[in-house]
Amino acid sequence: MNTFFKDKAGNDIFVLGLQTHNSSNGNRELLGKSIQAVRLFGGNTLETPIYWGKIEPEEGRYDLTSVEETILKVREAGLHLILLWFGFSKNAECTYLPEWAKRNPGRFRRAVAPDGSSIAVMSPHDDAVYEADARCFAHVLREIRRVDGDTGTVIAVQVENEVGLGLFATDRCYSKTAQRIFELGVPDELDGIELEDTGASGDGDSWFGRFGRHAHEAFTAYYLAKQVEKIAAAGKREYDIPLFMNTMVGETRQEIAGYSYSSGTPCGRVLEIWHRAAPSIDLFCPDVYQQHRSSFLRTCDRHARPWNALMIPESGIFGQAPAMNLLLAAVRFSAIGIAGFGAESALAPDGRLTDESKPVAYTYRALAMMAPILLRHRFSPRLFAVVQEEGQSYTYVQRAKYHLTIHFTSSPGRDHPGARGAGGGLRIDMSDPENQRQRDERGRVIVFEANDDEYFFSGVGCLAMFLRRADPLDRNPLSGYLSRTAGNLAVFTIEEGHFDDSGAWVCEYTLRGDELYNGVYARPGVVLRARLNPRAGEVVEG
Amino acid sequence: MNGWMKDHNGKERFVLGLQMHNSSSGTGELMDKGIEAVRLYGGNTLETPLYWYQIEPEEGRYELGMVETVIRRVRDAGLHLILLWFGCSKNAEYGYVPDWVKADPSRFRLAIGPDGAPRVNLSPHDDAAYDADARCFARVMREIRRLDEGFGTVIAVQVENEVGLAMKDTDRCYSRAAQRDFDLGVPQELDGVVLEDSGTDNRGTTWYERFGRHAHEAFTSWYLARQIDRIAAAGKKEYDIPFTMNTQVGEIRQRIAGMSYASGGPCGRALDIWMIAAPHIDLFCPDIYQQDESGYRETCGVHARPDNALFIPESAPMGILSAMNCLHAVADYGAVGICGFGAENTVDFTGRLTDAAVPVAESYRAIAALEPLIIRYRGSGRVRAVTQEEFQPYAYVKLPQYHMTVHFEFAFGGLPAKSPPIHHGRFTSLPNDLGLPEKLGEATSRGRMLYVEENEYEYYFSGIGCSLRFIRRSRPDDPNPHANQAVNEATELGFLAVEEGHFDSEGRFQVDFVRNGDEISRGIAVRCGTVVRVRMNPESFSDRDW
Repeated sequence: MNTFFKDKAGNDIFVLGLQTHNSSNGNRELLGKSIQAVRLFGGNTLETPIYWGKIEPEEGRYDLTSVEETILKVREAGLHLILLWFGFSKNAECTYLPEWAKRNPGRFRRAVAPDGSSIAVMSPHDDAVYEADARCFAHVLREIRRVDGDTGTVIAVQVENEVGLGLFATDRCYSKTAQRIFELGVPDELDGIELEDTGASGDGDSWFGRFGRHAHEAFTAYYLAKQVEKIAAAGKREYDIPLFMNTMVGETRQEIAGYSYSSGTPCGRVLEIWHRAAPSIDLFCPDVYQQHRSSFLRTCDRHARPWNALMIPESGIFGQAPAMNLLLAAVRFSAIGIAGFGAESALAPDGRLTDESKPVAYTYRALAMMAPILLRHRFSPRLFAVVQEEGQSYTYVQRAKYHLTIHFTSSPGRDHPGARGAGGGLRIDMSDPENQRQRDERGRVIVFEANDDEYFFSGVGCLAMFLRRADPLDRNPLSGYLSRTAGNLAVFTIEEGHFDDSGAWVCEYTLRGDELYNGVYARPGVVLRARLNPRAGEVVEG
Repeated sequence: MNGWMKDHNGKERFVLGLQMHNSSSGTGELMDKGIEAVRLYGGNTLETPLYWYQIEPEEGRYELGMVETVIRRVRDAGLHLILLWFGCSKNAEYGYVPDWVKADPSRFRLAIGPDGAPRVNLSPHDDAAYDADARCFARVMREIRRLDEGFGTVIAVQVENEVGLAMKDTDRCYSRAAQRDFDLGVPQELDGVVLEDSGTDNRGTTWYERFGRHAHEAFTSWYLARQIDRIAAAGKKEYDIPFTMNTQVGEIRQRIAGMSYASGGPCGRALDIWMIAAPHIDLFCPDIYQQDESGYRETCGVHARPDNALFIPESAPMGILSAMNCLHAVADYGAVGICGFGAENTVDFTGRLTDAAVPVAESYRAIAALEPLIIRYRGSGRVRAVTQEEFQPYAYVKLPQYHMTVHFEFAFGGLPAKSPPIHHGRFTSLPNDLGLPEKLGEATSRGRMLYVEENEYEYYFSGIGCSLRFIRRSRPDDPNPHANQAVNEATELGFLAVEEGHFDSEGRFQVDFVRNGDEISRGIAVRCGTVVRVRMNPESFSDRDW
C-alpha cells in the first residue's frame, strides 16, 4: 500500500508513535507510562504487542482479555493503537511461542542448520506451526473486530515480529524436507523477479541459477512469505484492516543474509519476493536503528517503493541522530508513519521526559504540527526538509523567487548576524535553560512553500533568512540585493501559530518590526508562517 | 592542465604542504617555523608569498632580494616551493600593490561601484595597473629562473591571490569606461559558453541576453581574465613553469557574485570563461574552507574537470573535518595537491604540533605514505577513502572478492566504541615506534583511511583509527555459502600475508614488519605512519571437495 492509515471516519492519519518494550503489555502501569510518553512526544499512536503464548495457553483455549483491555485503555487515552502479533516469530526466534508448541518439536518443526543441529526458529518448510498460529491469529482479529469494529482505535496490526532465520545460525533450513523443496527449483510465481548482484546468469529454474549467491535467501524468503501469507489471510478474513510486517534490516554489516541479518526476512533485497508471495500483507516496514545518516537513508530508500510506503515501526528514541534522521525520513521519503522503540524508557521517574529523549520529542512535535501539510502535500516538491550536516553552519536552498538560507543556531558560526539573533528581539528568554537547549539542538526543519511568496516552517535550531532573487534582466542586481527591501524586511509578517483539526491555519501571534530582523526562528511547539512581499525589491522608475 | 606537478628530475609529485600567513614571507624566523610545520605534517611543499610593493618600492626599481632569501631557505630544507605573487590583487582587494600605485588613482584606475564611489580594486577596464604588475612579475620570473632553473625548488607560481571585485561592494565596475566595454556586448571568443540558471535563453549578443542574471559576473570575469592573462604571459615568457590561480569559492552563501563572493574570480560558475580568456594559467584552484562534507565536495566537484585538475592551495590545516575531507579530495576527485593555510599556527611555542593540527597532520601522513600509488593510479578508481561518518560505528565496502568492514575503533567523540569489535591492546603486539612526531598516531582519532587496490587480492592501506575485517565473498554457485563464509578460512586468517612497510624513493614497497597471529586474528589495524599491505589467498576454498 502507498497511502496513509485511516481512522474510522476515513481521515488520513500520519502515524507518530512509540512502541512499548517487548513484554510490557498486560502490565497496566507500564502501559500507562507508555501512553504518557506518547503524549509528551506529541504523538498519536501506541504500538504494543499481544502474545500467542498468553492468548492460547492451551491449544484451542483462547484467553482474549488482554486484547480488549489493551484496546480500551488506549481508546480511553484518545490515541490510535497498532497491535503487534508476537506469534511464531520474534526477532527471528520463536520465544513467544506457546509452551505446548515449544514442547512438541516432533509436530512443530524447527529449522535445521548446515551442521544438522536444530535452531530456535520454526522451519518455513513445515505447515503445522503456521496453521496453529493462523488459527489463533484469526481469533485475535475476530476479537479486535468485536471490540473495536465500530470505533477504530486499532488502525493496523503488525503480523509477527522480524521474521527470518536466526542470525549467525543459518541462511536456510537444511532439513531433508527443505532440501526436497529446494530441488523443486524456483516457482513460476517468481517469474520476472531479479535480485541485484547475484553473480548468476539469471537463467534456468534452479535457485542457484536464478539467484546465485542470494539463492538461499530468496528460497527462504519465498517459503516463509507463503507461510506468513496464510496467517495474514486467515486474520484478514475475520477483520479487514491494514496488516504490516516489520523487518530486521538487511542494509547492515556485510549485507550477508543469515550472517549479517536474519535470512528470509522481508528486507530490501527480497522485498519483491515478499510482495508477490504475501499479498495479504499491506506494508513491509524497516526497523531502522542505524544512527549514521547515510545508512539510515539507504534503508529508507530501499523500502519506499511505488507499491510500499515507508513506515518505520521501530527506531531509536534517544539523541540527536534519530532526531535528525526521522525528520528526514518523514519528509524526504514521504513516510506515512514513524514510531520509536521503548516508550517507557523515555520517561524519568518523575514522569517527565528524560533529557536523552528530548531531541526526538522535538522532532515529533515538528512532525505533529506539520502533519496536516504532510498529509495533504505528500510527494509535493514544495515540501522539503533541511537537516544540519556535521560542521555545517548554514545551508542554502534556491527557490523560484527567493534565496533561502537556513542558519543553524547550534553552529560555531553562531555569530552570523542572523544566527546571533536567535532569541534577540523574539521575546524568547535565552537565559532559560530549556530555550538554550533548543537553540543548541542540531538544526532540522520542515519547510513548506505554500506558494512562491509564502512559507511554513516547523523544527528546531534553525533560523531561515530570505533574499529576493534578482530578475535576470535587472540592470542593477547587486544594489537590489543589498537593499533591505530584498531581505527579511521584504516579508509582510511572520506569524506563529498552528493548524487546527481541519487543517486550517490559526495565527497565534504576528511578528513585525525588530522581530523580523532575525528571520524565522524555528523552535518546538510552533509553526511559523512567513508571508513575503511579491513586489519586494522591485525598482519602480519615475 | 590535468596532471601532476613535477620536481626538477621530472618526477611527479603530490603537492602536500602548508601556506605561510599572508605577510610572513621573508621573515626568517617565521619561515623556519613554516618549514618545520610542513615537516611535522609529513608534507613536501611550502607555499609563501612575494609582494609587489616590497619588490618594486619605486616604479622601475626592483629589490629582488626576498626572492632569493625565500628560495634558498626552502631549498636548504629540502622542500618544494610554490611562490605566490601578491600583485594587483589579494583577496579581491589591492592590499599589496606598491604605494606609488595606490597614490596615483588617476593613472591606476579603481573600480567604481553602482553608487559611483571607488572600490579597493583595480578596475579590469583600464590597463595601466596590469601593465605595471606584468612588468614587475616578469622581473620576478626572470629572477626565479636565474636562481632556480638548475635546481627546480620552485615547482609552481600562483598568479595573484583570489582575484575579483570586493565582496559586498560591487558586482562589476560601473565607470564610464566599463560601461563602454559592457555596451560592446559579448566577444566572439565566448561563443558556446553557457552559464547555468542564467534565466535567459543564452542567445543574442548583449551580456544580459547571453548570461542573464550572471551578466555582470561574466562580464567582469572576461575582462579580468584578459588582464591577468597578460601578467601570466609576461611571466611565462621569462620562465615557463606551471602557473596557478586560487579562487575565493563561489559555492557559498546565496551564490550571488559580488555579494556572496568576489565577482569576476575564476570560481566554478565562471571557470569556462577564464579557461578561454586566460590560457597562460595552467590550473584554477579553489581555496576550500568549507567544513561540511557536502559543501567541500561540491567545490571539489566543480573544479575537478577533464581540463583542470583539482589542486587545493588553501584549506583549514586543523580539525577533524578537514582531516577527513582532504582524503576525499584525493580519492574521489583526483586531487594533485593539497595545502593548508597558516603554517605557523600549527606549531606551538615548544615546537610541537598543536592539538588542533594533529588530525590534519595525520591525514597528510596517510597521503604522503601512499603517494607513489596515488600518482600511479590517479583516475583509475583504485584509490579510495573511507571516513567515519558522524555516529558511524563501522563502514561496509564491497570489494570484488571480499566483504570488507572498516570498524572505527573509537565511537563518536573519541570514546571507545561501545563494544569495539576488535581490541588491539593499543597495538602492544605491534612495534610501536614508527618515528612519528609527538602526539601523532593516537588511536583515539576519528577513523579515516585511504586504500588502494593493486589487484583483487592485494590492497594497501594508510590512515588511523580503523580496523579491517575481511570475509571472502561466496561464489554464486557455492552450495554451502553460509558455512563457508562463517569459517576462519574465509577471513583474514586465510590470507597470505599482512605486511607493514613504506614506499622507497623509487616507489617500491619495502616491508618493515610482517604481521601474523594475534596481530591479524582480531582485525587489521590501520595506523598512522605506516602502510599496511594485505595480500589475500586467491586459492582459499579451492579444492575443498575431497
